[in-house]
Amino acid sequence: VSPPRGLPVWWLCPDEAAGAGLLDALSLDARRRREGLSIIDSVGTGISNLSVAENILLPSAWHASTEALRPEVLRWLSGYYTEPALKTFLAARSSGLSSRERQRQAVARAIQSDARCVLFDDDSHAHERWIDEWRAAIETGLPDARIQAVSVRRPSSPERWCLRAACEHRTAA
Amino acid sequence: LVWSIWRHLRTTALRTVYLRQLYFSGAQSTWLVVLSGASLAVVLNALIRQQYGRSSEFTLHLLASIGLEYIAPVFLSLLVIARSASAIASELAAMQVNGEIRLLRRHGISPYEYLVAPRVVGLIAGCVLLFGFFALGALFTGALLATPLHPLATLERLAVTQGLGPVRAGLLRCAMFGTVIGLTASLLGLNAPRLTTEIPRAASRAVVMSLLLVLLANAVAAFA
Repeated sequence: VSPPRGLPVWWLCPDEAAGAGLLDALSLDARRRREGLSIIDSVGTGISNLSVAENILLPSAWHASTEALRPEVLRWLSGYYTEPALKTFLAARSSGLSSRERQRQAVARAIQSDARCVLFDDDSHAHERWIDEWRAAIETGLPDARIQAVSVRRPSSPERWCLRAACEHRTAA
Repeated sequence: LVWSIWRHLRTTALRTVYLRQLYFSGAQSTWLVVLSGASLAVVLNALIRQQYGRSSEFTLHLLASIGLEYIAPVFLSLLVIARSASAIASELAAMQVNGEIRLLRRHGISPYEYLVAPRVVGLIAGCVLLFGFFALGALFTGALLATPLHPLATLERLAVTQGLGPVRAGLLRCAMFGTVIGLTASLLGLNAPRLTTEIPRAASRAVVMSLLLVLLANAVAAFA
């Protein structure tokens, strides 16, 4: 399903299960198209027993045997941390981070994978301010990425999204 | 699978998963296993000398044959089940509950290759490593009890008379039991339902099931 140019897609799902199913389908689509993919959810899920650096590196190490973090990732993270603080952040266990730090880790993972498809999993039912913030970061760091959000509610600023129903994806597929 | 393991071992970020597993299931138990081997040697020595009136050298031969081939693999399996099987199953079940497994799948990372394979390989390597330490502890203590002044010469004589047969058989059993424990614990943890209450249940199921399968595999191996 190709979204209209310029606006990211907001997929509206009837319930949580449909949202999870749609995320599976969208990630499968991206993999079939061999696009780099990254998923960012409200709690910034990562592998809890890995360090932040390992979490950021994992998808690209898996798919492309990458050994080190890209300079773009370090540059983006250095906007939030001083050099010693960045070292501490990268060495920290993912399980010990706050939600916000984990979201940052997920955005860094998207930049590391040079993702062409970024999926926001809006599973928190809270205000989507976090999506707006990270959407801006993705649009700056990955200008070619297609951004899509999956949610059970409508966005509070619908003019900034191309609203679609989950069933449209099934029909197109 | 072999290609995938080889590819992972060549990538630093993925190799750490294997090394961590080897560390947790093998290296961390080293001293416990050396002491257990030594204690087995002491118990066997005391029993056979006092109850059957046989020499310490005879006990050492018994230890090298029956002890290494039959007792050590089962004893080490029990230790690995107690330490690692429950830990692996509960860790993977917790990852399932936290949505980490789903995240891996969505990123195109197979949980079987990324989570199960390193744990199985780590447990096999860990069991083999522990067998080495157990044998070292048992045989050296046995030799020390038989000939306190020349334990190394006694061990050399033992190697000539016994050969490598029991050690090879013991290593094979350890590798087989490591595979059984690793696969059972990983699969039970990975396939646990996404409920917090399922984490301890997965751990307990992994212990019981691994124990049953190891005893079954031991019985089958005895006939082979």
